[in-house]
Amino acid sequence: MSIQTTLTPRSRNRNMDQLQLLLPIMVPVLLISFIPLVRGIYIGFTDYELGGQISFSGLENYRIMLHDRFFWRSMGVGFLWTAVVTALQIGLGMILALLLNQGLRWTSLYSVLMLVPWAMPPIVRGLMWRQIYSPDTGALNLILTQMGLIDAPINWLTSFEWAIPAIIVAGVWGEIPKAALFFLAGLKTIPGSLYEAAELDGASTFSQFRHITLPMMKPIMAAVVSLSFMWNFNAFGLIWILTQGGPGGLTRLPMLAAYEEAFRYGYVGYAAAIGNVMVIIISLFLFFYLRVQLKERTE
Amino acid sequence: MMRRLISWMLYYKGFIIAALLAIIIISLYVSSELAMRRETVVVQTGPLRFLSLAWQEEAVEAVREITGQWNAQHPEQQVEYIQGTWNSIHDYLITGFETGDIPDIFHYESAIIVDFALRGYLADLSPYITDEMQADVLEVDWSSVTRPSGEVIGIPFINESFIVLYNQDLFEKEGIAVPSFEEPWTWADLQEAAQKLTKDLDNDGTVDQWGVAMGLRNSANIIMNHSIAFGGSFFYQNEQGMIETRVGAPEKELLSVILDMLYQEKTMSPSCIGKSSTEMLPGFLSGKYAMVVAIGTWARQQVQENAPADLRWSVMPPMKAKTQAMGLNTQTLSIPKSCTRQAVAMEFISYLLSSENMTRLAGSDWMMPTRKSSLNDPRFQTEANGWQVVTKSAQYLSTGPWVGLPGYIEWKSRVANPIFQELFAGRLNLEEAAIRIEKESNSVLARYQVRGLKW
Repeated sequence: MSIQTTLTPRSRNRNMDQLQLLLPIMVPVLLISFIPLVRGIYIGFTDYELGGQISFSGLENYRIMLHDRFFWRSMGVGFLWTAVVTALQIGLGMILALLLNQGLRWTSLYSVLMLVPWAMPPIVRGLMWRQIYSPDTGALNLILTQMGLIDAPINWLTSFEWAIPAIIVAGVWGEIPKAALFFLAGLKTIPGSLYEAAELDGASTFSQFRHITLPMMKPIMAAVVSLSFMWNFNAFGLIWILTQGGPGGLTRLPMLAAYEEAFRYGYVGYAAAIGNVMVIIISLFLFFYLRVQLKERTE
Repeated sequence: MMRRLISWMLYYKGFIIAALLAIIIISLYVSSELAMRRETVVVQTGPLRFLSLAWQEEAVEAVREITGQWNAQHPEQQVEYIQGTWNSIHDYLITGFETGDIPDIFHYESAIIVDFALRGYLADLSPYITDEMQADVLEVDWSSVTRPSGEVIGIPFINESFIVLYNQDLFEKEGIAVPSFEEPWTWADLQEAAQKLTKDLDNDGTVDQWGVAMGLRNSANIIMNHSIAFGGSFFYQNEQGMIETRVGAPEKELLSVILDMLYQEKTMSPSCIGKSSTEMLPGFLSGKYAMVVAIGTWARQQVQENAPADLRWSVMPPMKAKTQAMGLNTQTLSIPKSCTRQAVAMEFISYLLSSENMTRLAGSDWMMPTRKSSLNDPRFQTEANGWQVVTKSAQYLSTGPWVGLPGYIEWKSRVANPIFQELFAGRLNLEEAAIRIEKESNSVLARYQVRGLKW
């Protein structure tokens, strides 16, 4: 309540003005975003099936979910995908940002090039990677066979061994730019004097990275990890184009599972319930992750 | 006290306004939702909307032209042509049914509209079918869209069935006699020929000409429709009258033939495992595959259009197991229940599917029409491009016992396709696959049986 005591009538008036300015925006947000969201949450507690009537069913959907093998399998692959893609994207994004921060020539050109994968919609990325992975005409098989690494072309996206690595590579490729861009912005804010001082003290490049860059970058990393976790856990378009959840349901991420429940099998209520569970999982993750991160900062 | 409350309200007035606004909007929304629930009959006027899924160039042109002719002859009831695509039709229709904004006539396929009918989306067309059409369309085609009550959920106009394509030159080179309707091949004959046709032409230790190709990516459709000839039906009624899935000897026969060709005899290219039958066509055209088994009749159009000039190819009569029966799927035209102009919509369907027009539609899509009179058209009787064999195969068409089984679509994509994928990829043996199918099916089908859905 420390803010309250500092508020003068004038600044309160200004708050009011701001709110009035926001109102025109708030109405569409409420209509287009908030109401469908609330309705979606509500449907997750109903037995809505295509062609049927909607009636409230309480926690029935969640009870079914507990014993639903298909659901748990898709959650499993969802976590694997999210963890690996997020980790690789942070690591590789950091490396890319450090390189771009070296003040090389043409840095701005590289930065623009770097953004290209991110500028593409997931669907387009998916189509492109599907071409690359194609067993007959794909670049990947062509290169590997010419190098003599494989004898026969591999059908990457339908093979049980390769489908998951294949979608992860495609996923990471598209997401690195986002991380790198954030990190590059963060690196620019670290004062050069810190490094000069460390250098005078005889710190090696690695320990400069470990003791200056990393701690200074922590808040930004927290933001990127949180955003990427949400984004990756909710991935749909890319995977839908690449594998449609196959082979054998191996790459059926939670979002694909929810889509299939609603649009293929007609269990709209159950699909919305899966969505609700995903929101809860993401919220829990963010809550604990950010709490740990923020605690470390205040210490 | 009062003063404090007022100052509190003043301080939080932003939130209070937002909350009030939210309440107003939500209540508006809820009341409109409730209003929508009430059955309101809107009198529909204007042109009838007709969604077509024709996609081969010639077929699109045919449908558009016939629709144009109708419009010229019926100024009082125009029809608007809407081009749909097979890729997005399902989501489009489902959203349409749920919101009530749906074309008056739509094109789809029997296997899926069965599910729509179970959900109560479709109009019963039986009162509007003319005697002429009733008698002319093949019995088996009607059975793919007729409920036990006699309700007809769509008019079948194209037969989707499977054929075997083969490379005549390669057959002649190996001295393999081509099967005929009088002496059809058994699957064992196919396996034997495939062994002769599988070759390492350049002696580098890897096979570069395969006997058989088959699209095994989503193979449930193929497996189910071909297993009928072995007496395999997958679904059985138990003593309690419940449907039960059984993968016994007849169901396993075709599966083990495929596994043998893949892993024992090595006459089927392993790349079949992750591909659809369409993806096998380039290999057929280049002579890499001597036969493509279980591909749709429409694929002939692609072959004819893309084949190198010196490729001689043809179509084989259906394979014989116990019988030569082959399950079929039909392309249909249906009318949603919510359509208020069903009679006139059906008039348009009858016009579009007159014998003459159907001949044109099916022919331009390179598939079999459902009317006997159309099948007799010279166009379907020529030897060119395998038409005669395709047309003659009509006598073997049948429907599987799963037509109308509630939950079949979910079963196919959730149980059958994934398990067949694992089976053919060598991650399961036949016994394990059979057990898993039986186990997983029952949990999928149970949901539908509990709801008491009846075909």
